[in-house]
Amino acid sequence: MAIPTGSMGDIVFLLLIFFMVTTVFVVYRGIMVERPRADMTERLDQKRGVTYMWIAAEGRICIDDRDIGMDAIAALIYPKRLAEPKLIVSVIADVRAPYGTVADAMRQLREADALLVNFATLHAR
Amino acid sequence: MAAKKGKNKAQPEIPTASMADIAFLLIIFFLVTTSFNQEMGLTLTLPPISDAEEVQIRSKNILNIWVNAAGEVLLAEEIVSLQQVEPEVRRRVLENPLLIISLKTDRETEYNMFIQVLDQVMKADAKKISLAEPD
Repeated sequence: MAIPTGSMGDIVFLLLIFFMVTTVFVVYRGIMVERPRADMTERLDQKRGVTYMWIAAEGRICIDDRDIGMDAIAALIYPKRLAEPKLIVSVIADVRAPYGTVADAMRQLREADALLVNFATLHAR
Repeated sequence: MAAKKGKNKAQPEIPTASMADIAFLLIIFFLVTTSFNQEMGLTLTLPPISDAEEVQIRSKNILNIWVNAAGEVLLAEEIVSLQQVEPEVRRRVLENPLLIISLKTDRETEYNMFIQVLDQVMKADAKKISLAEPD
């Protein structure tokens, strides 16, 4: 019995639309960060109200695709915090970043009253 | 001229046989170049800045964990290995449910080491974790 293959095109288009809608192009804009691995990694469920703060291995900090100096972080984050009370700042720091930089960044976040922090990690192998 | 049976006007038809091929090509392209957008990590709440001045907490309710620049872990003044942190913390939290874990990491410590220690503490089901300012 020959299996009717007439609908193969339909199925493929359905899958294509699915992937187009659920995925994003991965574009690295200037900062390559290797996230550390942790067993207690959990998915960050909150979609809106998340700001991403990238910290490179050499201590460079990026928020909203722009380099930012350490002292300017609080001023940048505070308006976001006012706009979104449940703001979560996701700190995406490289494994080799010095903790001092991360600690200073967290102090800035505390000054901006952004107390919900998520350290971006991957699942342990 | 022989009368044509069927259609009088020729209806040009676009061949659709390769539609599935094109669709497969596009799907492979998107599969390869995109990724599911999923942020994962460890979530913590930082203490508000006004509490930075030492709040009076009984010292028996605080467990100090210090990590130095070389990545060595000092738990309550004793050197422990990374894997020992979780069972130690779990034991102490069971003894004292009000226990607050204060994690102080040196400025020069690698961020990865900080995450590993934090991971161990979170694995031990410690709910009250406080990050202390480095010296």
